[in-house]
Amino acid sequence: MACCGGRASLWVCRAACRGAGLLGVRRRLPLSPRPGAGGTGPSCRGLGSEADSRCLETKKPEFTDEEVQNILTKMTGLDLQKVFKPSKQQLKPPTYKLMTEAQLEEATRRAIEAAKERLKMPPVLKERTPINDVLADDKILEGTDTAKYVFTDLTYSIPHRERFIVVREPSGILRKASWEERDRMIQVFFPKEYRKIFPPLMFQEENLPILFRQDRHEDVLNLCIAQFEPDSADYIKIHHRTYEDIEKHGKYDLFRSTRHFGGMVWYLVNEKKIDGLLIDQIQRDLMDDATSLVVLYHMLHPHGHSAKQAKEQGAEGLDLIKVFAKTEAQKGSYIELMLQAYQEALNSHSAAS
Amino acid sequence: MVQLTPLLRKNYRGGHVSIRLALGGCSNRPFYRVVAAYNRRARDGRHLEQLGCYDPLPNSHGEKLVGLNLDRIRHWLGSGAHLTKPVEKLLGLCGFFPLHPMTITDAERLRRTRALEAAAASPAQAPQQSGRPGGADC
Repeated sequence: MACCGGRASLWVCRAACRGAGLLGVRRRLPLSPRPGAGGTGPSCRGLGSEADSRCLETKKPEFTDEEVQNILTKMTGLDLQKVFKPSKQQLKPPTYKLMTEAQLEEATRRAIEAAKERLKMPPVLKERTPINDVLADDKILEGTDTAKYVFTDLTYSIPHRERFIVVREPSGILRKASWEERDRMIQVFFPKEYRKIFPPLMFQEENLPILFRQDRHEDVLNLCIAQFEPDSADYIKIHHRTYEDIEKHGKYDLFRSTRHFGGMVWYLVNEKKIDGLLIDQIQRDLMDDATSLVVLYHMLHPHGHSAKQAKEQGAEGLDLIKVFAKTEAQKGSYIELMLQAYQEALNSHSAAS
Repeated sequence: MVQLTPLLRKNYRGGHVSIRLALGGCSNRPFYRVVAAYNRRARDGRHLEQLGCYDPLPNSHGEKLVGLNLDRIRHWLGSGAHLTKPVEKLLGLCGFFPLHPMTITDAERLRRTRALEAAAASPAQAPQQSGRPGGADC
């Protein structure tokens, strides 16, 4: 075999060095640098000024843009009572404090900051492309073993995305591990709190509707964030399923003041299913949220009818919603009725007072 | 403060550091730790550093898990540690070293014995079949 010479030379060299006691040259197969870089899609931020004008027209607003994030945080709201809702913990008798007005304000301010920290939105990423990299194929080894070997590099200082995890199949192929194998190995050797090796049965298709019937969408998504990576197929599938169920039953208020609201709005706007959410917001008299929702819709679909009409008319506030209801909404007539009712209620209220 | 560990550490004359497998686990359930230890220490005794682990029994997904702290293995190799054959074979299988010659030799021997068995079985079943299939050759 032609390759014998190369291999034999390494072992001869090592044997000689061992005898001499010097450092020998260690030859090794090149392990390619990155098993696969997960991350957000391409963004235009690095381009020069001339490309900027073209970029702004053709570039699609991403979830991480500042304007988008501002709109979504505003819509999420900040209901302190719901954010700090008592969760299951060890029972302690409640503590009571006597405070002055100033101290109370200070405590509320700190609570608001803590709530903002809790309301940070989990990332919305594209689904990761599967890894199909073969590093070596040694046909000699075929049939020598019945099980595959999974080798994980346990160096502490490298980030998990860059860790080398390779699999030697019984057929002799040395390949990079798939994403599921990677997640499992990393959980075995560097366990993350609340993440299980085998995903809980709750995440299977048959069991999700049971939880949805009990209105536990938030728990489902919290556990999903703990269990899966943000760009894995399971994570995205479960999130989409939850959002679809909420949209079908109109249970938007479940997510208000939680960190999942932004992701849900982003999904609905991308799928063009914002009618139910608009109606819910008008019913609860959240006019600013409704207008910002339509603004976000126009940002993401700038070539649609409603966006063009709105730009022509220069519509603001309630007129924006009317334009949207006339052009692209499925339940347009219903939205117009609701808006009329709202305006009449507003007029009667101002007339009465 | 007086450092007592240098006094407690045994200084070997002519000994060397070895990266080898230390056996642990229970009856009928082996589990190896890849360990850097002085050559003449007990197999499972005091080691300098644990560099990884190897589970020889396949798990529910049919995988044998091997964890190797390559950074520290490189450090010990650079400091002149020796390796035992099983560790060399593991490092060859994972791609850190080229394949060990004994891995290839064992594979070829296995293939040859299987071919011989197949040849011995087939004349017993069908005596008309002539010639035996050529074994794997260099």
